[in-house]
Amino acid sequence: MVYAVGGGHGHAVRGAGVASALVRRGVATSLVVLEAQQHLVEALAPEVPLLVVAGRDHTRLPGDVTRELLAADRLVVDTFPGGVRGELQGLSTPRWAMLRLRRDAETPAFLGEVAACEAAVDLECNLRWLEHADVTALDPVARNVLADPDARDDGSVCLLSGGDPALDAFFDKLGPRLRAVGLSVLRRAPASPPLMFDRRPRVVVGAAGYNLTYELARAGIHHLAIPRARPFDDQRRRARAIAEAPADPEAMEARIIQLALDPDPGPPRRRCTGRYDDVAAWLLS
Amino acid sequence: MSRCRETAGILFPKKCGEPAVGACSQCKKPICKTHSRDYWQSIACVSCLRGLIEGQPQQKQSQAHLRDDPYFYWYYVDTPWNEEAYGASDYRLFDDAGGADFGADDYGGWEGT
Repeated sequence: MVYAVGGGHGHAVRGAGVASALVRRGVATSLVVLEAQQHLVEALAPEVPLLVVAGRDHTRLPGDVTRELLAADRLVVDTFPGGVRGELQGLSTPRWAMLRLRRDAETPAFLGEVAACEAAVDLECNLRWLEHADVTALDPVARNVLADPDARDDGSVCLLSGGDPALDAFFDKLGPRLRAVGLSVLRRAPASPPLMFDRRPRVVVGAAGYNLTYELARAGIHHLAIPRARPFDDQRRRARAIAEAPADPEAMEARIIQLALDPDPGPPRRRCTGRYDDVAAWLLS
Repeated sequence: MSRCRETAGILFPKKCGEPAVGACSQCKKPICKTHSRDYWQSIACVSCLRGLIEGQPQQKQSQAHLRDDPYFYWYYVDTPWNEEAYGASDYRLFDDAGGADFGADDYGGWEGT
């Protein structure tokens, strides 16, 4: 059972990717997500049975969910080995942790949760945030977000707010300014469909969450990041390592225009090759 | 096959009747591809989205991508369009003052964990 409960879409997308890879390998797998992410996960991994946690704010899981978790042979837990609110602590089911960057990596509370797992894998080892002999290091994983990964970019600029009101307010000003110099600007809906782009944009402007950052890196799309404050994730550190993070609105605007008008801007700084199948293979090994 | 029951046009209402691709998550009526829009993880019809945008300022903000959609042009045209200057809130987005503790004190809930 893959436990991918958490805010935003990140946990659900990673959980769906791993659960789907396990199902493809013939492992009986189900996925636990919040109700708010149900539609997204059904679109991403329709072959995976779901266990949906109703509502948005649970410090204690509903009884039926707890019973299912106790009945599972193994739990694969994303990011929060003890549950995002500690709701998995005390649960006797053996578990494996699937981890990405956390700012509290050195705290006894977090290391204690990792130590309580049978095994742990670091899916963001490139940032060297959790260098520990007992933790397996794998490359970051990302789904393919392009309909045609080999297509040339169309020179457009995509502003991706993910429903963040602060980013939307900024894009309300940035978009018209970019159009005024003749750029093709696309704004995307908050929802994250299974295939994000039917054509390859040249530049994507958005936050620096795990999935978006590595999906763009895998696709070879320039990512101009606006790191957003998060309690556990460190988007600023990720943005500086993988994407570009202009210092202010004018620098962002200038960099977008430079990239969009350059006839050959060259590839982005990094590409990542991790696949969800790699994680499934590690779990089964 | 059910037919689209949306009547909203870009300028004037008219019957559609194209094959439906789904049902509006708000009013449940069948809608075609032309009249459906992504609405979080579902779809909604043009009429319902117009109602949400008109009635709720936060919806106008969260659905700001519709500004580029001809069906919604008149619902956003009242806001400044060209060359609006960046304000303090825009600069705060790029504020680096947080350093290593950037956002670490924000324990407001599940969002963005």
